[in-house]
Amino acid sequence: MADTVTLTIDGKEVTVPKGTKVIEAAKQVGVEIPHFCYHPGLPVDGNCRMCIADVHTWNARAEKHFPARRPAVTCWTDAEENMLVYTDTDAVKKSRATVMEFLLINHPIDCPICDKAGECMLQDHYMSHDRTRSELREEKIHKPRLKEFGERIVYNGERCILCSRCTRFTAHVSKTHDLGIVNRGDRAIVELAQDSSFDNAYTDNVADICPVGALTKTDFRFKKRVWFLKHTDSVCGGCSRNCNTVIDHDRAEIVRIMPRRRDEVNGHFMCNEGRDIYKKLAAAPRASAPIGRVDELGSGPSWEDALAWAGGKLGEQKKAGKLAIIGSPWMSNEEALVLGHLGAKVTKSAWMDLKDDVVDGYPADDILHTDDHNPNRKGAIDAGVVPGKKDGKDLAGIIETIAAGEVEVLLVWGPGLVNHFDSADALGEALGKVPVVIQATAELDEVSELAHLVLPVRNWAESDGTWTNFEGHTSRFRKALRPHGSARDGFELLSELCTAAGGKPPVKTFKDARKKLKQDPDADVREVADGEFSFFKGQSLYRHHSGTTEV
Amino acid sequence: MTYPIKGKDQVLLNFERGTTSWPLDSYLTRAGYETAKEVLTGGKYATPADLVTTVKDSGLRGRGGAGFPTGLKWSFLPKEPQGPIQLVVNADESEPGTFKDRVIMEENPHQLIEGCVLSCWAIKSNSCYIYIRGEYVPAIKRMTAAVEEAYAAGHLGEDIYGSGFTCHVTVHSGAGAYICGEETGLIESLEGKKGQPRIKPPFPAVYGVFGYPTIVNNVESIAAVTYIAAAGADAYRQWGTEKSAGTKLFSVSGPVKRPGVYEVAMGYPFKSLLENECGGMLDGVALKALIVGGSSVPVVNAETALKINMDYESCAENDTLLGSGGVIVIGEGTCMVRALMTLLRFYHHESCGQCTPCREGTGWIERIVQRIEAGDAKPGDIDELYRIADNMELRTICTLADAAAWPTKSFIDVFRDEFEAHVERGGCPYDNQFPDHLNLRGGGKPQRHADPEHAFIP
Repeated sequence: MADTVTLTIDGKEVTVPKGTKVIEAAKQVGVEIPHFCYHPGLPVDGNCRMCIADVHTWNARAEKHFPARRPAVTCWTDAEENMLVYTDTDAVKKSRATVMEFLLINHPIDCPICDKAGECMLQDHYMSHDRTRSELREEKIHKPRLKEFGERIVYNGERCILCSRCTRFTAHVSKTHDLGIVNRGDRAIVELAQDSSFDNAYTDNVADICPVGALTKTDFRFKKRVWFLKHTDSVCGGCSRNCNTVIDHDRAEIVRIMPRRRDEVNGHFMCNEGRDIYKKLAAAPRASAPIGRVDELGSGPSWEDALAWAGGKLGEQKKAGKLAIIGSPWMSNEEALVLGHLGAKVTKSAWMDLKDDVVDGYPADDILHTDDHNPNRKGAIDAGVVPGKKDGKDLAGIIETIAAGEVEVLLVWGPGLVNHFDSADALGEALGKVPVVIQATAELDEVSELAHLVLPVRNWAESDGTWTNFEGHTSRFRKALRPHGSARDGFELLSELCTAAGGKPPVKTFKDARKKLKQDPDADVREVADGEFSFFKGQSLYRHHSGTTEV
Repeated sequence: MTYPIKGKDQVLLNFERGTTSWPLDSYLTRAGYETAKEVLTGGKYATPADLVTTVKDSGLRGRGGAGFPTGLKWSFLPKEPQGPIQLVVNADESEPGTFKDRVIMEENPHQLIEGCVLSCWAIKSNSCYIYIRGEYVPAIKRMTAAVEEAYAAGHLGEDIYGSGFTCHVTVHSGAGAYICGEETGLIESLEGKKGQPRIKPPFPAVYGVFGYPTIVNNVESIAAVTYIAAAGADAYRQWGTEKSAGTKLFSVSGPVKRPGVYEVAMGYPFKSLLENECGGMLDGVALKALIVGGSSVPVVNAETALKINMDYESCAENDTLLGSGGVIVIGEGTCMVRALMTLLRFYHHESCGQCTPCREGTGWIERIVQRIEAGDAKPGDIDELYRIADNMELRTICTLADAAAWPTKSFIDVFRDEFEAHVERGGCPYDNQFPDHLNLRGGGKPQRHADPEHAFIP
């Protein structure tokens, strides 16, 4: 009891842990207090003054409420027992309009050329809390408009409202201390530290958290108007952290990737590698239809024929017991469930393990990035692709077995097997000893040149699924893009292979798979976007990121 | 030991002005450090809490401008402090029109140091910082030298007079920012950061320098503690009024015969200060207006000025504030719009830029006043100026925005006709109207747009 406080906000009672700020307590009863400089992932600064509300504290000795000495900023004020907060009074509304006016007098009217338009907190709050004409009759103050902060970020001093979110970010999150505010008063601007080239792994977050278009990303500048973007929840595959993301896409093309809030996984941020990953995805070589290299199939077999053939070869191994399955740490949990079932039950035990699809990438750091450049190792193992299940043979053992000519059928999922060989030639030599090599993959690689059958699969941006990160948190990604050619959904493909191999898939539907995996229902949670502002109260014309990115 | 009072009952300027009053030898002739000895070793006060009570009873109010009761501020220290208590002396005297602390520091530094020792003893602190504005080079030099003298003679340091009490004083210089006179701006600057004020609460008494409980007091307040500790609360109360006890320094500037720093009892009529101490207005210049306590307090016209007594109550009754004691006398022939413009230029320059209303507002109102003064006013500008100043108030982290807003509003309230004259005339009605022999008119016409000095320099 002593650890919580109960207060009343706009007539609604709410109980929160001690130390909670009023602005967060308000969220819990659905009261959105507008703000700029406050961000739940950064230390509080309280400089924008937008979150001012009418706060009355209870004085136990006098047995009555006293108003705050000066208008209180709710981002800084701790919720206290018996506190009364009013956010909807005329005085508070006037206060917000006043702050908006001060912010806008020197703000350039750049909306027509500013990337942030459509997801700009200044625009949103103006529409919700101000809407008055400018009274300024002076010339606006001029500041540098095109300062490069490294190669990825551009700063516009005139648009900047000096909320200090970016400087707090580099001080407390990336801990690189690249940015600082210099000059006093209305000459203040953000500057890059002299000895910094702003090339750390987390630079792009400052453009996300910037409430206005002062910080923009060179990767996105002038690329697309945000109201054309569709937003699909996704997960980053760059490492085993599995930062929750949002894929912003338009007309079957990914335009950018932004972080999505998930407190127990990535907090509010992501690294630059994950943001750039869509370029890798677009550059990956794909197949639109199955590729065959045996006479029975021909070079371009139909899906029916391909599946029947593959199923047959797999089914034979039930008796022969010389099947090796090399899964991928990029498989979804649902795909891994079926693959594991295929290896363990349908074909009655195959040698199984995962490979390292990706071995290069950003180094591990103590912020987000881990040392595994693949997203779902833990999840795939937990779902059933258990290394060494048969004969204790893990990947190294499987490769030895291949070299010894003991493997009759090899099923490979995804690219990157060459990472476990000295060279592509060595890989080719080894595979030459395997009579049947089947690869199911979204991205073609060296194995695809040699496999007897290549089954094109949808990549993670084209699929629904979940990954589990190295700490055991599961996250859901959803289908953003149309499938490439006739690429099949991995989960469905594997289920059909089970049937074609003479067995039964472990579950009937995708939903059943998730039930069977006993996943934490939080995997699906889309944390409510803080401040998902609406152009007109209650109705979003455009869905913004100003909420998402802040969250 | 009776405290020698020279001339007219002086607590702070208790020496002959114009003599070499700052060295330790001179101070010792004024019973220097005897109070410290008595308090530290002679049991003059049974406990430090008793000295705090004495200061409370004396009615001493903070002399930096806010006038907060000093003893009460001291009592806000937590009973169980989370860390060593710090005393910080605010010698960042930057309020326009105020130059009284420098007199203490330059001419009577040891009284301040003794006050530091006594105050530290009272609040159970062993560490004191004296933060002096960087521009006050002579004061920094004198204070530094005085502190060295005090250490050498054993009035500062470990186990002073064998009492077991340790007090260390560090003189620290600022670097030219008015905002470092705000107590939390000062603390931030002392910590080596940008002098940007903190949001209160928590107050410095709870979380101050380096996070330790801290008391920030003005130079004059601490120097007065020396007297109060020596002579007692009643002695201090022999001067002043019920709510404004003791004496105060006033630094008078403007077209008077004898501008300077004077110590008078609280409640002393301004009229007397003007006519007796300052010798009256310069010949040929009539009193027009008065800013009684530094530029941040509202201005009053001559009629009101002559009714004011120099204490907190009287000033409040007359729609102004006693403030820091920077008495700016304004004579006839001064353009009030130009005067306001000069003041707003100061606030615009000094705003730290942290929070929105002050950062944008100070620049905006300065530019509007510049336009009005230059004769480029548009209809509604005066009301606009008032409205903006009003909007800046109270919504900021510190009171610099209020300090810019109050003079703006009061100048318009009291001298609106001058603003309107500028608008109608399309220019300043006071141009070329100063009697030449007074050489009062400033040089050059004001600039219409943002001063190049304020423009961003890459």
